[in-house]
Amino acid sequence: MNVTVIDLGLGNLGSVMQALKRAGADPHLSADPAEVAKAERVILPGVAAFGVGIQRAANFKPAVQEVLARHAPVLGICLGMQILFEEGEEDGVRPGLGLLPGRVTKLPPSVQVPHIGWQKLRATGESPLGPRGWAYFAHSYRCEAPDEVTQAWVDHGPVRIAAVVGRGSLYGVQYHPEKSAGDGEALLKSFLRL
Amino acid sequence: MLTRRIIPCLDVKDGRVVKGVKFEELRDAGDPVESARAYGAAGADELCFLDISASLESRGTLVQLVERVAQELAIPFAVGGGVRSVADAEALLRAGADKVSLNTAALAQPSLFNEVARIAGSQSVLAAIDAKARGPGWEVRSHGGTRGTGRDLIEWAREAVDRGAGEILLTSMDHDGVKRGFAVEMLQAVTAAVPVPVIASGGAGAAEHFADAFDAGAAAALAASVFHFGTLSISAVKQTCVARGFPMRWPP
Repeated sequence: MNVTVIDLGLGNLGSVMQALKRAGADPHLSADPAEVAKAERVILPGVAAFGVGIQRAANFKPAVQEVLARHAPVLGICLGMQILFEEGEEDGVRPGLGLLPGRVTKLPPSVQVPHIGWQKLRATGESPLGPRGWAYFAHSYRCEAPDEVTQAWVDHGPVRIAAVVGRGSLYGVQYHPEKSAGDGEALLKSFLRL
Repeated sequence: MLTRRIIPCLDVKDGRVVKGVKFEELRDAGDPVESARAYGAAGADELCFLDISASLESRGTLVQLVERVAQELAIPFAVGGGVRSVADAEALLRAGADKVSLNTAALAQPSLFNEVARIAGSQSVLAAIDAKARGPGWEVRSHGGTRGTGRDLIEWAREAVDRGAGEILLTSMDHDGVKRGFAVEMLQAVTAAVPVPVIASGGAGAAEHFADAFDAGAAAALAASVFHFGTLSISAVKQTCVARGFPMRWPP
């Protein structure tokens, strides 16, 4: 199973690459938009912060749109999910890739921030990724995703956090499937089978 | 609701686990990768590696160890001990550590928290604080707890968080190794003072102690010898905590 992981030169790509290998894939790291545009399926991994992430990811927007136009699957992980949305407010308000509707906002001071730890996913209905079981989260911002793109969520105190989002062949996960033991591997396997 | 975390801590020296893990299934108790895998399978929520090597040459060995663990382990792990600079922290994160823990070096240069948080995000920055009772409060200790700093625990915890630390790993030097429970009063004071998760460390001797730490507000609890020597199993600790009403990742 071929999967191309976009290399933004930031963050910890190693864990994502290793988890994909454990899930039976043959991951290929690419920093070339032309190569990404032709990929069978694409993963946009998490990086440090929204500002620097979107700065580097912006170059890949046409390539990702080409992949989606072919109905090939794309998965954003953690910050890789957040930059799929319209706008983020980390380090000042900045536009995102705008491939999914909604804003990315800081978790309110009424809850523990960062949101770090394991929670059981609650799925909203039919998701081709079949999100279930335990998920490991580590983030301070969340996607305020509308219901029509939310496929699984968790509640952090009174705050609902979109854990899995999707529209067409585009998906995002706020948690880290690469760090979520067996249930995380199962989600990656589902993505690889799409 | 977030589950509370149980974190075994492994001391490593020159790339090997010291105070070896006594799991029957381990062929080589000194191999960090085998120990990590065993703890992952036993239901640990996260691991912590503490490098106790003194030499600078050992830093390269530690980075290699982190790379090997990251290849095998499908749960998060933190690495600390002797992280002196942003470059040290960056090397560990690039090698696959999910979090780096900063202690003595950050006391000398508090801006380390800001700088590592800027490149990696707060969720990857762990402020490790060793403290000891003094007067009505607690004093922060440095150099593995051997030296006083004159700093007040609560003030230092607040400063670390303001500068970008996303979690606090709080070790009570008065309770460490005594096995009579975590420092409940100190945990209550720190969890009330900062908005980030606090990891209790020092004093675990029985499964009930973990639940007591959660009662005091801890988001996670860390222990070394009780797990390594098989005094307690992770499953026994988690079942006790579930019975006391705490949400746990159990069965994992």
